[in-house]
Amino acid sequence: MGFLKRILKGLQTAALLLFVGLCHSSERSPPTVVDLILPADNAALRALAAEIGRGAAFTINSYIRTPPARDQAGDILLVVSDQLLPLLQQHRYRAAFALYTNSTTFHAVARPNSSAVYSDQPLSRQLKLIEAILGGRASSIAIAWQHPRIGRQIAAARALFPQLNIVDEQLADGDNQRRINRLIQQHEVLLATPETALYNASSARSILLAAYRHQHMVIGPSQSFVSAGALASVTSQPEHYAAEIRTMIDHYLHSSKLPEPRYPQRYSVSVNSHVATALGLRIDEKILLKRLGSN
Amino acid sequence: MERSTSLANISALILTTALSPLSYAELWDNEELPMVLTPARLKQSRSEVPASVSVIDREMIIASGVRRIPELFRLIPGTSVGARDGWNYVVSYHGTNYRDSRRMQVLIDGRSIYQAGLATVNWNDIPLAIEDIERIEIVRGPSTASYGANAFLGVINIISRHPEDSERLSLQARRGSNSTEDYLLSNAGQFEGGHYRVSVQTRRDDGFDEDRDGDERRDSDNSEMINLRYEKLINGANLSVGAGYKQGWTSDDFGDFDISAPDTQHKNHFVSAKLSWDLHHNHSQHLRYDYSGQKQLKDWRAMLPPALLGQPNHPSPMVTATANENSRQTRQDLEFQDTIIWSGKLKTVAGMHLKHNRVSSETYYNGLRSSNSVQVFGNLEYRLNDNIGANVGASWERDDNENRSYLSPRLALHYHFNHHHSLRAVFSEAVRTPDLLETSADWSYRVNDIEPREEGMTSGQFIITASGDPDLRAEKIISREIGYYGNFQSAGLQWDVKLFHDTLKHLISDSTALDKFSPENNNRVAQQGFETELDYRPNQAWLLHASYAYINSDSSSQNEQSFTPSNAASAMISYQWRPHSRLSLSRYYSQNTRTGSKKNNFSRSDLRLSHKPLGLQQRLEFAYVLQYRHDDNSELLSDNFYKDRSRHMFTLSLRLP
Repeated sequence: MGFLKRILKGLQTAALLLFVGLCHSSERSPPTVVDLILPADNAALRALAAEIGRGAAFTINSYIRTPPARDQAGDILLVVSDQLLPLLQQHRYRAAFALYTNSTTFHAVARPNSSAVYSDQPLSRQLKLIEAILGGRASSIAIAWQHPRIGRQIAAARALFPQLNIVDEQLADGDNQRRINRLIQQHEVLLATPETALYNASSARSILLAAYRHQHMVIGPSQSFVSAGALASVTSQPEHYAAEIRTMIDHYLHSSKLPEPRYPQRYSVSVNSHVATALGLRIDEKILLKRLGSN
Repeated sequence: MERSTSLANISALILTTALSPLSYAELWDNEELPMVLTPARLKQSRSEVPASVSVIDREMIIASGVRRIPELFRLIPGTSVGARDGWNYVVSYHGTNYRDSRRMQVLIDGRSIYQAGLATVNWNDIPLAIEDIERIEIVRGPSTASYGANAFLGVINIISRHPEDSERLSLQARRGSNSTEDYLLSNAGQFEGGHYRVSVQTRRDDGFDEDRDGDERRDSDNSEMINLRYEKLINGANLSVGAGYKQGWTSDDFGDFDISAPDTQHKNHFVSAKLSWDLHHNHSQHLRYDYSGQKQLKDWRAMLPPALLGQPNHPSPMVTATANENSRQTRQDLEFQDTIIWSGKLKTVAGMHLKHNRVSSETYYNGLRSSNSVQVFGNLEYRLNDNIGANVGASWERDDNENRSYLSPRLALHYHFNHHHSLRAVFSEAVRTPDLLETSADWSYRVNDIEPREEGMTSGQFIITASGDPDLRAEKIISREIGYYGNFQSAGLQWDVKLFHDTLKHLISDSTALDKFSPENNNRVAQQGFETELDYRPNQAWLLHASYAYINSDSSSQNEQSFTPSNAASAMISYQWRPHSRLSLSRYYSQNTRTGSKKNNFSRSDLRLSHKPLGLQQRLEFAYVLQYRHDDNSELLSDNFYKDRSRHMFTLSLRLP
C-alpha cells in the first residue's frame, strides 16, 4: 500500500510540473534568432560561433558565406570579417552586425541599421602601449596615414598624450613605400595604422626590413604584423570579440537601440620576443598590460 | 659570429615567404604576411658579441663633417689614422707600423677591398661616396676566426645605404680650402621589381700645402666615380648586386732623379653579387661572388748617371730614361655561408671562402704572379643559462703563396648581469699570411728610351733591386681581453670598456721602399692597455660620443710602434635645434710618447654648422665645416703641413625624398 501511495504521489507531482511547464511555455515569445554568417568552415570559426552563443539570450544559426533563404531567415544578421561586409548592403533583418571588420572599411559601407565590433585597435591604445614600452624614454613616434578618419584619431591622441612626440604625415597615392621608409629612418618608432592600403602583405616586408636596418620599432597594427616581425601590438583575442558582440546584441534586444560600432573593450598585448631581443629590449607582457590598465 | 650576426649583414639577410603559424586573424582575413624574422633571430646584441665592437652611424658621419672615409676612424678608441700624402691614408687599430694598411680587413657591403698585389688597402680607390654610407662597424680585435687573414688587428665593415632608404634625387656641391671641390649626384628608384641607387661623384683637392722646407707639395687627388647598388627579392631569396668604377689622377713629389711628374693614373672597378635564402626560418644560407680590378699607371722620366742604369759605357755623364710603376691587379672571392639556429640556446655559423689574386707588373714582379687561398670557418654560440654564454670559433686557412695552413681559434665567455649589461673575456689568435709583394717581389726599375740615344744602350735596369722572400711565415697575434658593455636604455647611454694584452710576433716590419725592402719575420710587439667608449643620446636633439685609449707598447722595432698612440682621445657633441639646424663639435687628440718627440702629436677640433631654410620644404641644406689644428706638427710623416691652422669647407645640398 505504502508503495502504491508513493507512486501515485509521484505521478501527481509529475503531472503538476508538466501542466506548469506547458502553461509557462505557451506564454513565452519565440527566442530571437541570430543568423551568423562565417567566411569559412573551420574549427576556429566554429569555436567562435559557440563562444558567441555561450550564455546568450538568443539562438544562433550558423551559415557559411551565404545567408539563409528569406523564409528561413532569423531576426538579426551577424557577419564575420570584411569580406562579408557586402551582405550588409541588402539585408532584410531587424538589425545587422559585423564582427571583426576594419573600422575604416566598415564606415565606408555602413548602413543605418547596422553596427560592428572592429577588428583593429584604436590608435590611443597603441600609443599607450608605446608609452609603456618606452618607459619614460624620450622618443619620436611617426605615424603615416591616409584616411581622414585616422587623421582625426591622431589629432585626438595628441591631446590625450601631450608628453609624446608624435610626428604624422598624410600620404596620398604614389610612392608611399619610400615615404614610410623615410619616417622609419628618422624616428625611433613607427606606429602602423590599421589602413590596409598602407600596411599589407606586399608592403610588410619592406617596412619591417627597413625597421631592422635602422634598429627602430614597428608597433601595430595587428597580430599578423607582430607574427611577421613587428615589435608589438595591442590585440584582442577571439573570446574578447565574442564577448563584445554578445554584449552588443543583448543590449539591442533589451533596449531596441542599436549600439554604436566600437572596438572590443577587452584586449591583450602581443609581443614578438625575437624582435624585442634584436632591439635590445626585454619586454614583460604582464607588466605592459598592467601599465596599460587592461582588463 | 660577426659574419652573419653583425648589423652589417642585416639588410642582406635572407627573407622567407613562409607563413607564420595560422593566427585567428589569418583564418578570417586570409591575411598572408611574409615573415621577416630571420634578421632579428640572427642578430647578436652588442652584449653578446664575442669581441669589442664600435659603430659609426650616419648621424655621426654627418656630424663629423669629414669628407674622407678614413678620417671617421679617429672617433674609434685605439684606432690610428694618418695621411702619408694628402690622399694616401693609413688606418690601423692599435697602430703598429704606419707604412700601409696591411693588418686590417676592410669590407664594403661584405666585399674585401684589400689589394694583395700591392699589399695594401688603398682608401683613395674606394668607389663609394661617404654620403652613401649608412653605418660602419669596427671589430676592435683579431677576427681571423671569422674574416680570414688580414683581419689581424681588426675589421672595418662599411655598410652602404640601402636603395630603399636613399633619397630619390640628391645633389651636393662642396668647396673649400686646399682647392677642395666635390660634386655628388645620386638617384634611387625602382627597376624591374627591385630597388636601385646610383651615385656619381667627382672629388678634387690639392693635398698638403708644403714640406718641412716650406716647398710646395705635389699630392693632389682628382677622382671620378660611379657606384651602383641593386636589391631585389626573387621567390623569397634576396639578390644584392653592387658595381662601381673609379678613375682619377694622384700627383706625387719629384724625386731626386725625376724630371717629369711622377703622377699616377688609377682605374678601379668591381662587381659583386650575393644571393641569400632561407631553407627554414631557423636555417639560412648565402652565396656571394666578388670581382675587383685595379689598374695603376705611373711612368715618368728620370735623369741619372748611366752607370746607375747598368750602362757604364754610355758616353754621356747623365742620361734620361723612362721608368714605370705600372701594375694591374684582380681579385676574385667566392663565399658560401650556412647559419642554423638550433634552439634558443644554440646557433652556429659555418662556411667556406675561396680567393684568387692576380697581379702583373714589370717593376714589382717582372711579370705575372697569382695566388689562391681557401678558408673554412665556423662559430658556435651557446647560452648555458640566463647569465653565462660562450662562443667558440675557428678558421682554417691555406694560401698557396705560402704553402702552409693555419688554424686560428677564438674563445669568448660572457657573463650577463642582465639583458643589457655583460662582462666578456675573449681569447683569440690570428694570422696575417705574407702577401705576394712580400714573398714574390722581383722589384727593379727596368728603364727604356735612354737618351741621348746610343745603339744597344736604349734600355737598362736601375742597379738597386729588391726581392721578396718565399720562405716568409705568417705574422701571428695572440690577444686576450676582458671587457664590459652596458646599455642604459632609459638614459640613451651605451658604455664599453676593454682591457687588453696582445702579443704580436713574426712581424714583417720593413718599409716597402726599394732601398729598404728585405722582408723578414724578425720583429715582435707586446701591447697592453685599456680603452673606453661612450655614446650618449638622451633624445633626438643631442648626440655625445667620446673615446679614450691608453696603449703601452713594447717592441723589438721602432717601426712597429711608430703608429701606436700611447694616449688617444676623441669627443663629439652635436645638438639639433628646430627648425633643422645642427651644430656639431669634434675634438681629436693623439700622442705617441715612445717616439720621444711631441712632433708626432695630433690635435684638432672640427666644427660643423648646418641649416635647412624653411622654404623649399627644407630640402636644401647649407653646411659649413671648420677644421682647426692646435699644433704645428706634420701629419704622420715629416712633410705633411698645411699653411694655415684652419681649413674651411662649404657644402650645399638638395635632397628630394
